[in-house]
Order: sequence, then structure tokens, then C-alpha cells
Amino acid sequence: MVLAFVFSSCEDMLDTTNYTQMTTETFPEKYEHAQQMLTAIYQNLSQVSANPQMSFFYLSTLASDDNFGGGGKNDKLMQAEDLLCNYQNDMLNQFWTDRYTGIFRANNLINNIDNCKDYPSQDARNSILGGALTLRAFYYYELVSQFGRIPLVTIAEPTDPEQASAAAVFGQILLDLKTASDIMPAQKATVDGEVDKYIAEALLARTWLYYTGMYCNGEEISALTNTNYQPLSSVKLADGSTLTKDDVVKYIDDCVEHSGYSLVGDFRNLWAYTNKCTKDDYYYTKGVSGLKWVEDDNAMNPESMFKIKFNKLASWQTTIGYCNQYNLHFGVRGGQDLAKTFPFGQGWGAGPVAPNLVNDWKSAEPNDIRLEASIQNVNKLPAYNRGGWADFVQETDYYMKKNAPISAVNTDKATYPANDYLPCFEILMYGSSNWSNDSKPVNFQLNNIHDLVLLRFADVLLMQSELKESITGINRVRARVGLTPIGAYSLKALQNERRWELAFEGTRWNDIRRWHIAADALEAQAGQPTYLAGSPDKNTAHNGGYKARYNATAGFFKIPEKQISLSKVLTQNPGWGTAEGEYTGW
Amino acid sequence: MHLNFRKTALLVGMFSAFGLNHTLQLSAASVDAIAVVQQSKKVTGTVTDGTGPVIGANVLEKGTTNGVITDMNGNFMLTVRPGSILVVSYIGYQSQEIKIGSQSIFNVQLKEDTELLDEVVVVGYGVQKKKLVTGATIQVKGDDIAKLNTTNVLGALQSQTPGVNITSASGQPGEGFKVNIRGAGTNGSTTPLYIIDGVEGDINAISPADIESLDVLKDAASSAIYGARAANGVILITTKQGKAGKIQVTYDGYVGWQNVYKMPDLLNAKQYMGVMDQIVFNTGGSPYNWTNYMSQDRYNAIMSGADEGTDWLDAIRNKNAITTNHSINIVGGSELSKFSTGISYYKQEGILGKPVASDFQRATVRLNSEHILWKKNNLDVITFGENLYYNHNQRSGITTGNQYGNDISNMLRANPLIPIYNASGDYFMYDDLKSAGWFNYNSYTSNPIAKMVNTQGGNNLSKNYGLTMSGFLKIQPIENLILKSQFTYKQSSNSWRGYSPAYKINDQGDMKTGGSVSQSMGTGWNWQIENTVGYKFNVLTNNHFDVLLGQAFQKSGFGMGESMDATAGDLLFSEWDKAWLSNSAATQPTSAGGSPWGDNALASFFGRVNYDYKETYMASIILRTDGSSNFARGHRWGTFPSFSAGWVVSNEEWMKRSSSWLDFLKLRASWGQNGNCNVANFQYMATVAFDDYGQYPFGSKNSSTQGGYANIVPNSDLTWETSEQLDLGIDMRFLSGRLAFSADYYNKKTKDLLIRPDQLGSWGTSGAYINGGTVENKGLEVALAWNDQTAKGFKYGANLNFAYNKNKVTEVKNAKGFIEGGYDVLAQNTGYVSRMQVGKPIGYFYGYKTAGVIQNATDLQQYLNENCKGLASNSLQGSNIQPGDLKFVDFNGDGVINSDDKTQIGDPHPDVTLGLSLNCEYKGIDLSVTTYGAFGQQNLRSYRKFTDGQWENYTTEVFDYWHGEGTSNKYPRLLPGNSGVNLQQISDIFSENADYLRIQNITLGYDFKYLWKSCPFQQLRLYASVQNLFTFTGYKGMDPEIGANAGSRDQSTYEAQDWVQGIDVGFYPTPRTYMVGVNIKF
Repeated sequence: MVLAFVFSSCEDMLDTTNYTQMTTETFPEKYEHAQQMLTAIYQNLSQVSANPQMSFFYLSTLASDDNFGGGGKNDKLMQAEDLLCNYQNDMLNQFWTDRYTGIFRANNLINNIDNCKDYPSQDARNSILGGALTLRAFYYYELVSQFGRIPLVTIAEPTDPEQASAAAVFGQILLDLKTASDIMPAQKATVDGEVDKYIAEALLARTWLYYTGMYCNGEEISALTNTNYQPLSSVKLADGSTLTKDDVVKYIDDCVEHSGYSLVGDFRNLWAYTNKCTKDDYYYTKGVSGLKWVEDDNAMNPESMFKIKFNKLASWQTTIGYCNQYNLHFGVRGGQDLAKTFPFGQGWGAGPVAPNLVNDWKSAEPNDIRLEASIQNVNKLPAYNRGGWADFVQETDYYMKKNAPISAVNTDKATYPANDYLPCFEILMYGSSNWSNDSKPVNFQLNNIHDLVLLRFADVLLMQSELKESITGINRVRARVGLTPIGAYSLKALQNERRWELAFEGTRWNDIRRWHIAADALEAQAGQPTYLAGSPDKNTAHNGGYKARYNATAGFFKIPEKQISLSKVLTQNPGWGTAEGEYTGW
Repeated sequence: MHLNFRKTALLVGMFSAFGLNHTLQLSAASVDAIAVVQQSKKVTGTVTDGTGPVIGANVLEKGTTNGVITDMNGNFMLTVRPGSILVVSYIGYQSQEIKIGSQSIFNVQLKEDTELLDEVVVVGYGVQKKKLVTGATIQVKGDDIAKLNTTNVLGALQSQTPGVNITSASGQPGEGFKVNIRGAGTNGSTTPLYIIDGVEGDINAISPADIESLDVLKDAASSAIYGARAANGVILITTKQGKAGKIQVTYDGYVGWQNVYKMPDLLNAKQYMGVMDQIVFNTGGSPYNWTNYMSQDRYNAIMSGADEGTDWLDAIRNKNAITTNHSINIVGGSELSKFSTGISYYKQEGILGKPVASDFQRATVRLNSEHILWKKNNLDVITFGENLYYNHNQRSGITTGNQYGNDISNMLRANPLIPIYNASGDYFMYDDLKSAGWFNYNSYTSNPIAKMVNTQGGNNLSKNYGLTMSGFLKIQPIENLILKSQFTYKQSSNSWRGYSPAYKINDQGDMKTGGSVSQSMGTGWNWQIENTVGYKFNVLTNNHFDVLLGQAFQKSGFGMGESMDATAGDLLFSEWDKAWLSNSAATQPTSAGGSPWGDNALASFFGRVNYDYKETYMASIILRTDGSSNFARGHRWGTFPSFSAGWVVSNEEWMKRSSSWLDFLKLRASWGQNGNCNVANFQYMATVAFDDYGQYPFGSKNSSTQGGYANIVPNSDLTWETSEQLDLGIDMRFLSGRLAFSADYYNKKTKDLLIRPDQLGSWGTSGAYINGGTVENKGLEVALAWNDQTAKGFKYGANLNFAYNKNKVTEVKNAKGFIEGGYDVLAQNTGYVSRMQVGKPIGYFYGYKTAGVIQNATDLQQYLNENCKGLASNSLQGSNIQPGDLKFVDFNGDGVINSDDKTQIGDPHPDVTLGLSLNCEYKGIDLSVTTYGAFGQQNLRSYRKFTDGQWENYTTEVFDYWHGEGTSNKYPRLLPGNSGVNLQQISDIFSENADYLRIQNITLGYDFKYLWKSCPFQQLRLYASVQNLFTFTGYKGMDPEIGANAGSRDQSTYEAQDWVQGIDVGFYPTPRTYMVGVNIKF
């Protein structure tokens, strides 16, 4: 008995309390907890941005027909993405793992949403649930677009399910987006960066267009790469209900008419190079009236809907995903003096613009101001040096402007006495305090903190046109840039309009795949003029060429071998596992 | 050495510390106590044994405290009452009693006690006669540790403890050792449990000079008394305890000069240019125009050999780096009250890292005392004692470890064409590099010394303060029944400060625009209480029992400790001495944190029964139950039993025939279980994290919104890791104790390993620990010792120990049957190199086997025919395969070379370790040689981050790269590291045999007492010694002994992977040290 007493009192003494963490026993049980869980789901946008080169946004830019891979001889991953090849076993594993982390967090909230009892209103609950559903859907959309055959996990528990059919995955994504569209309050988000009903509706349309186009002939590689394009008109959702094209039209109409998002007056005001700290020194924007970046001084962009937000808190110790690493990767290669490449800042030179895009654009739409608003010809820069760091691969005469790092003339010599130029205009615009990486930040790797826009209202208008086969949306978009309206709807016109309007915004890759024009579009990159380490070169075929690689894979990348070896059931995608798919160097 | 050996045994303080009866009077001090003698008779004589005089033998008038010890020549003189009896004794010999008659000169020849001494060893919560021990333990005397003059106790143990594998974790001062006892049994830390005077402690904090004895409990039965935490074995350290008698003061001091033992052969400027040109030539390019980056004059000077460029590693050598130690020990007391005090100071400078001060300093103070409060008749009824230990350590250093941020690696790889300083004497840094055009050569070009001195890695100081105070009360109500209660309070504090000025290193953004300082501090305490009852009794005279029952509880946790840290920029000053958080112009720190120590508790109950019959048949049973707060209720208690038995065969009647040559023969067998709860708390719950990985920057550029998320998949079933071990042993002594032999066979199985298996990405969160693996270690340990003395007093001895261990993972509970580790440790994008896999040794190296280099077209076709079904496309190199490429072996025989052909290419664990020491002593001169060797292990080495670019420097091994038929059959043709698979894929060309035999220590000493007999000292020894004199090895790196794990971390949890080791990417080598020292005894 004494022993029993001793043991039981020991048990009490051995019980411990966790003073630094909550546990799932008590979390979530409050509205506040649900909000915190939702924030942690958004964090996944930042998490993935820490390794942008593995993300879908980046891959879809480099893999598309509008961009090459670029970077240095070391940056094989960039070139491999362009060439639809793999480099090393686990080239894209980080993205796979990170995205599922976001999905896990979303599953946890979606399944426990009603553990919290003190929602101030049903709308408050539905906003949170709708947010979680929308983000989960978006995360799955990116994963399934990148890898094709993926496990579909909707519970927050460790499982090892077989890869789901595309029908099952998209049945879930479309259901999530439809539910979010239905339950979220009819109100535009007031906090910059949050998703709302209209973003859910627009993503519903985007997903619908991709799935019904891409899979219109079936799920096999041969069906996916078949050039027949006859989009599906109804899809079975995960709950057994059916979503039809008419339903989707209803949602996109609602978004166009009621969302409150609008087109910005001047197309160029969407992009950071028109910011107040830079525009008066950039030959292209200097003295042009009406130019003012819509996000100047952290204003909310009325046209951008879904976006990744960044701020000053990125650091090597926590995550660099809190700053815009895409800007850095797309920046000017070669550590060139900022004066020589003004207003474009330094970076790794990923995704040089493919000359075939410029040529197509010039011949199809010669008066389009969007061409120069979107693409910088390096020959017009003050003193650009080719061959950055003597190892630049697939360099062209063109850089993307939309998501470039933007520098500024230093007007704050008091704070930064040593600099004539600052690598990122944000240093001036947002002040020198509160940066976590450095007290006086002049760091071209961490100071790009303007938004990465993932969905714009112009895209909504174009999707509406495409779904309804009407010219209204197309012509609104054209009118803004002073182009003459088109008279009748055609798929070709729609395709071109999307290519010009949305160039380098991450949509082109899935567009050419769903329209079943990818193989030929990609092949157009072959033989284009490039520079290799500064010397004129041609974009030579690797691993059988773009077309062959596309037809072997339908644009789905290699599932990380690590995941396959960890799983009992995962299998590799077609087109991978042989030397044909393995990039070894330029 | 024969006599020294005995003398050492004589000094064992354990006799007094544990209240055993000791019969010997240890000093002549008691002569003072002679009562007035009425009648007296002066007697003189000489004490000898078979070989010569016995120095220090005790000559005592029986029944009194009147006695002396014999001098150098074995002579004694004593005044006694007529008719009394002289007792002549010396440890290790049978005592003799001689009746004083009319004779006044006595020549006594002592006979050796072939039973050997009743030497005792520490067994945990007590001591035991060595001859009765049934488990596998080794005792190392404090003197033998101190003799080797190592910084760290472990450094001295290396050659003396078979079965204890000790490797340097880094040669940088203050960085410790990696230890495993009887093979790496776990994926987690293999560090044994260190018990210092009964309290769990840190061996790195203790001065070797404070150690009386050190006992290693190797088998499970021996360590079972520490059940809960003993899975890795136990090392018991007893510090010097008080002794009754005249106060004895000793001073030991030395000073040494250390240097790098072996420098790598890096390419000089001209060789470097040649190799770089060769590389571009091999890829079809044209040679560099070097004058783009330097003046024609300098170019000419390099080509003529007048300018060799910069040898970066040589430039940071700190030649003749000082190491010094001073310790004073004072021991004394009366029969009732004894004390022992020690003060030590140690300082060691690093041999690499100049101008950064890489050094370590340690000051320790020890106060041990014991007081008999109540003595009744001859019984110590109440005894009180305390042990107090304080240590103050501080160190600063350069960064070592993995391929990132490793200063040594940076030096090995840096471009030799870059000068250290510019014309104005400042570091040749960004602006110089830029204006010289070096960034057009390679944008990562940098000055690694400038990098070292400008980052926190080169500007840091850490301090640790530790205080352990324990007091005990021993009550002995009746003889041999001892109740003991010990309470311990431990306090520890630490601080760290690191500073980085503004700098700009390269064109890839390695820069900092403002200085910053980081400071962290932590402090806390914990306590433990232990209560034991021990009773020794006999049943029917010959059945001896020694029973122990005990209970212990230890606690640390909330409210008992906390830590804080902060980083601030915008510094007002730009120098190290003035880099403090307060000296920042910023209104708030850039980061700050503060947290409590976690709750932690361990409750234990234990019991032990030792039994022997006539000291011939022995058995021991131990049972221990522990409860750990790291596990959930229902899974937290673990019970660890053990059984052992021994048989002293030589005591048997029928063995008497062989007693002329065989003194002693004992057989032992033991079986037992131990536990390990070394795992983070709260694994049984899903915790919710509110950290940097749960924030999102919605509208604000200056702040983020904090979110929370579940961060592990909980495992409420998690429980103890258990180590189970069978040990069979034999101990023998021959030829009057001159030759000793012992051997042990063991089979150790560690089950339910606490592992955190790599989990599916689709889980979306970190997995918890599971009990998911088993590792087996089987081995053999043999120790041989010879000690003798010639008639002329020449003493000599040799000790040889040998250990063989075979390590095998027998279970890994995940889908793959293996766990991967060592991600990108050799170079970027090289993936995992280490595996813990069923059927293989833990942490073996995984990669491709190669069969040499393809020499010509015929050879190529033959390779393809044998490995690739004749098709180039089936080779790893693909259709471009050509002469000069490696012959990757088609290990699985399917005719295609791919990742399925990867296999074992090395094993970082030695099969055999060997320690051999020789010593001799003659007329005050002593000479000893200690060697240590490890055989059968491999290291994975690369001094270049070969996938990171083609411009890093090479060692002269590059000249062995293939450059035409017949030039090399190991290394492939030279290509830029980042193209082609020859180097990118990890293969056995990186795996090198790291067998070595090291002459660890040679010491030559002379005791001037022999020359200057009247000096006031008992000992005045001067010595000179050299450590790490020579290493016999075929290993091409700087140091074959690589204990570091190269900073390998789990890719998803970022936890250190202790089981990954043997990776050499620029290891801080063990220095060679020449030293002189003195031992003085008053």
C-alpha cells in the first residue's frame, strides 16, 4: 500500500505542463483560435516562396513557351524546368512537402471549424471556413497542375493513400471553391491579402477551365497530349453533386458584376516600376503623365484579387519567404552596378523572355503598349553587360518587367551614405526601420517586398469571355490599353489576349496545356537566339526537345523519388525514370 | 612500474570515502602520536620482496599507532617496546608479524598476496571488491588520466578503455569528444551517462586533475543500477576524497606548444591557374586570360614561382599555440574529519583561426569533505559529508562543422590568387575584388579570412558556469547497515555574445550593411534526492550478502530556469569590446526571445543483491524502475532487470595444481536491460506552435499576424528505448600477478529506438518519435597487461587492449526499412550519404561503387558490355560516356546503372580499436609511450564543394585525376564540378580508409627526489612530453579521427542526426603538442 501511494504520488510529480505551446486538447476552441489557424494556412504562401524555384508559379513561368530557364550553369533546376526535365532525385520535393503542409493546416481547420463556439456571427464562421476551403483548393490546384497524380488527403491525420484520379482531385477542389463561393459573405475583403467570396468564384472559374479543358479527352498521357480540344460541360463533385458550365458562368458573372474589383486605369500602374521612388528616373516612365503605381505607400490594388503579401520580416534565421524571392530570381544576373541596369535590380536571371513571344506579339498586335510595359529590352538599359557572372545560360535580350526587382536612386543619403542606388525601391518607400534582417537594410536578396499577384480582375474578365464565348470581357481589357475592340469572339483571339494581358503572371503554362496547344507552342522556343556566357548561341534541343518531352509527360513533372520511396503506394508519372528525363547540364 | 602500480592502488581514496575498514596506516605522521615510552628498543631493517627493496612498506608496532614506512632502499628504523610485535605490510603483499626478541636488525622478505589486493571498484551507489565483480567494468586511476595531460578526461581514456570508442568531435579548443561504449547502439546520442560523485554531470566541465578514479560500466548488468538512462553505458567518476593523515599538497603544472600535425597540399597560384585552364580546355573552352584579373607583373611573378599566391589555411595557423594547466590539490584530515580540495586552471589556444582568438579556458574549484559526527566504539554511526564542484568555462572560436559556414573548409577552397591584404593593408575585400575584375571570373570569389573576422563565427565568446553541491548523511545504526541520504543542488548559467560588423564579401549578396550584436543568457537549477539502505551480512559464515535498496527523484522545470536572447543592429560602435545590445541606436532589438526551462522529472526505485559463497561463487541481481515525465501516463514507467554470476575457478581445490603459474581465474556472465528516455517532452500530444512558421504579413509591411498550427503528429504510445546485453567474461592473472589477461564477449541489442522516421510529405506535418528500430552490437574485448621489475630495480610494463565490434541495424519500422541522413553534407545537391538500414551498420555510407576509370574506347565498350547491356544510354553518364569517366558498377546486375545500384561504400565505425602503452622506470627516470589505433573504418571526404562551381581550389590530388590513358584509375577526368555525373553522384571515390595508429603520448620524466634526497618534497618530478607525435595512416586528409557528424540535420525536423558521422569537409585537426611540466608533492 505504501508502495502504491508512493507510485501514485510519483505519477503526479511526473506530470508536466507545456508552458510554451498549446496542445490540440485545448486548441481550437475559440473564434480567436480559428482565426489563428487560418493565418497559419496563409503562411503556406510565404513558406513556398522561400524556395520559389520549386513552386508552381515559378515552374509554370519557366516551363511555358514565353520564357526560358536561364540562370547560371549551376542553376540546372531553372534549365530543367524550362526543358521539362528533372535534375537530381528530389528537384521539386520542397514544394510537394510545403504545399501538403498548407493542406494539412487547412484540413485541420476545416474539420474542426465547429469546435469553436463563440463566433460573433454565422458570417464570421463562414468567412473563416470559406477562407480555408479556398486556400486548400488553391494549394491542390497548384499541386495537381505540377504533378498530375497526387494523393488526395482531406483529413488531418497521417495516411498513405494511393494517387487519386484527376476526376477525384478536381471533384474536391471544385467542391471546395463552390462551397466557399456559396457560404462566404457577399463582400470584398477589407484586409489586404485575405481571400473573399469573389476570389473563390474566380478560382472556381480558373480551375474549371483547366480541368474541363486539360482532361476533355481523358486522363491518360495520350489523351492529355491529344490536340483535340472539346471542354467538358459538367463535372461530378466530391459530394456527388454536379457542377455545370452554366453554374460556373453564374459565379463568374457574380464576380464581374458584384465583387467591387475593377480594372486599373493605366495598365502600367499595375507594376512596381511606376512606383513614386523610381518612375521619374526610368527613361520609360519619366515624364509620362498619369503614371502612379496603384500600390504606392502600401495602398490596396483595386485590380489584384489573390496575391502573396510580403513584408520586412524575412530573415535567414526564420524564413526568407516573407519577402518576394520571385523578384530576386527574376532579377538581372551578374551583380551588375545598379546604375547600369536601372531600374531593374539584381538577381539570378531566371526566366529570360523567349524571343518567340516578342516576335509573335509584335506581329499579332503591333500597337500593344503592353509589350513594352511587360518586357524590357536590355539594349535600352544604360549599360547592361551580357553573360552575367560569365556563366549565364539561355540569356536573351529581354527581361520580364512585371515581377522584377525594382531599384531606386538613393534619395536618403543620410541613412545610406555609401549608395548611389538602392537595390529595391521598398527601402525608400517603407523606411529603414523594422527590417528584421539588418538595421539599415540594403540587401537585394531580402528587400523586395511588393506583392506577387496571382489573380487579377482582368483575368476574371477574360475567363468570363471564354466561358460565355462573348467579346465583352476581351474588349474591356483591350480598351484599357487603347486597342480597338474585336468584333466577334474566337478562341484564337481569346488565347492571344490572355497571352498578352497576362504575360509572365503564371497562367500561360496551364492555358496552353488545357487548350491542347502546348507541344507546338513549346517547340517554338527551339532554335531561338540566345547567349551562352555572353556569346551568341541558339536555344538548342536537350533530352529530345520540348515537344517530345511534353508529349511524354503532358507537362507533369517527376514525383520526388523521396516520396515514392517513403510511400507504399505512390508510383512515378509516365515519362520519367529514364535518362531521357534527366537533365545533366547545358 | 611494479611498485608504482601498487602504490597507486594504495592511494585509492575510496577506502575512506565509503567507510570501508582500512587497515593500513598510510603515513609516518602517526609517529607524532607516540606516547611516552618507558622502555624502548631501537630496531632497524630492510624490507624486500623477491626482486628488490620495497619502498613505502608499512612497519607498525602491533596494537599501537607507532610506525614508519620504509625509505628508498627499503630500510626502516623504529623505536618499540621490547617484546612487542612488528607488523610489516604493503598492499599487494601478505602482511607479516615478527616478534621482537633480542634481535634488533630485521630483514623482512614480503610474499606477494597472489589473491591480489582487495582492490575495490565503484559500482554505483557503492563499491565492490574487484575480484567479486560479475559484470564488465574497467577502472582507470586518476593518476593514469592526469599523466597524459589531456584537456579533457576523455582524451586520456582513449587508449585505456577497450570497448569505449572515443573520437575527437573537433580539435578546436573546448569542443568535446564523441563517445560510444560497445558500439553505436542508437540513432540518437550515444553519450554515456556520466555520474560524478553520485550526481549526473558533464565530463567536459571537470578537470582531469580532480579525478581519483573513473569506472566504466560497460555491460547492462553493471549499469542496470542506473536503469533509466543507462542504455549507452555509464561512466562513474569519483573525485579526490579526503584522507586522514598529514596534509599533503600537490602541484601539477605544464605548458605546451601546439601545432598542426599535417597540412593539406593545396595548389599554389601557378598550379591553380594551370588546373583551371585545364578544366576549361577539357570542356572545349580557351584558357583564361589571367591578366584580366591581375597585373602583368604579378602574373609574371606567379609564373616564375616568385609569387606562390595565398595559402589560406597556412595563413590562419596560430603557430606554437599555447596550452597550459595548473592544478593544486590539498588532502588531509583526521580520523574523524577529512577533506580534499582542488583548484585547477586550464587554457588552450587553437592552432587554426588566426587572427580570430580561438581558445578555451576552464577554472574549477572542488571542495570535498567528510565528517564523522558520532563514533561509537569502532562504528561510524553518523557521517556527514559534502562534495562541492564549481566550474567556469569560456571559449571562443571559429565555425566548424558542415560544408556551410565552415571556416576551415572556406580556407581549403579559396582561390589562391586572391591576396589577403590590399595595398593599404586592409583586407582585400569586395571593392578590391570588384575593381580587379574577379567577379567576372567567379561572382562567389571572396576573401575567407575577411569573412571569418567579420562574422559572428569569428567574434564570439561563450561562458558557462556550473555549481554542483551535494551533501550526504550516512547512518550506521548497527555494523554494516548503512542508511544514506544524498541531496544535490545544481546550478548552471551560460551566456553568449556574438558580433558582426558591416561587411561585403562577394557579389552574391554575402553582405551586411550595419553591424549587429546578439546576446543570450540562460540560468537555472535543479535538484535531486537519493536515499539508499545497504546491509551486508553473512549467512552460515560463508554466504556473504550485500543488499541495497534505494529511491531517487530528480526534478528540473518551470520556475527553475529561464533563458533570454536578443539581437540588435544599428550599433553605435564598431568593435567587439563595445558590441552590446545597449549600444544600439535602434529603439528595439531586431529579435528577442525568452522562455522557461521545460518541465522534467525522473523518479526511480532500485534494488541490488550481491551474493557470494566463499568469494568463489558470486551472483548479483539488480532491478530498477524509472518513471520519466517525457512520456504519457501509462507509458512512462520502465523496469530494467539484470542478473549476473561469477565463478572464481582458481579458488577450487582442484586448481591448486596450477597455482604455481596461474594466480587467478574468474569466469563471468551477465544479462540485463537498460533504458533511454532521451527524447523531447510532449511527443504524446499534438502541440500547437505559434512561431515564425505560422505568421502571415497581411496588410502591414512592418508586422505580421501570428497564427497557430498543430506541429506534430502525436504518439501517445511512445515509451522507453531499451538496451539489452549479454556479456561473457574471463579474468586471469599469471606468474605472480605479473601478467594479467581479461576478455569479454558481448551481444548488445538496443530495441524500441526512439526514432523520428522521415515521413511522407503528404502528412503535412512533422511526425512524432516512434519506438521504431533495433541495433545490434556484438564484440570482443581483450586486455593484456605485463608488469615486472628486475633485480636491479628496473621496472617496466606493457598494456595492450583490443576491442572488436560489429554493428548491425536489425529493424527499422518504416516502409522502406531504412532512414536516410547526411543530406548535402559533402556538397550541394549530393543528397543523402548515410543510412540506417536493416542488415547494415548504422550510418553506413551509401552510394555507387566504381571499378576505376574508363581508359580508352575498348575499355569503354568492355565496361558497357559488362554493366550496361552494351548500351551507352544505360550508363549513368548517358550517351556521352567517354574515356576518363568513372566505371559505375551495375551492382544489381540489371544492365542499367541507376539509383538502384547504390550500395554500401563505407562504414564510419571502426571494426577494431587498439591501445598499447609501454612504460618503464629506473632510478627516478620514467618513460612512457601510449598509442591508440582504430581500424576498419572509412571517412567520406571532400575538401571541395565540388558541385558548387569549378573555381574552388584543389589539393594536389587533382594531379591524380585522369588525363589520358593510364594516368589514373581512381579519379575521373577533370571537368567543372557542376557538370557530368562522375563527381556529382556520391561514389566510393569519396570514401577513404581511415585506419590509423597514433603515437598519442611519449613522456620522459625524472624525479629529482632521487638526486636531492633531502629536499622538502616527497616528489619533484620534471617531465617533457609530446602528444600526437606521429600518426600512421593512409588517410589523405589532415586527421583520420573524425568524430564530427558534419552538422547533419534531419531535413524535415532540423534535429541533429547523431548517427551520421565520419564526414570530413575540413575538420579542425588534433594538434601535435610539445610540453614540459612539473609534479611537486609536499
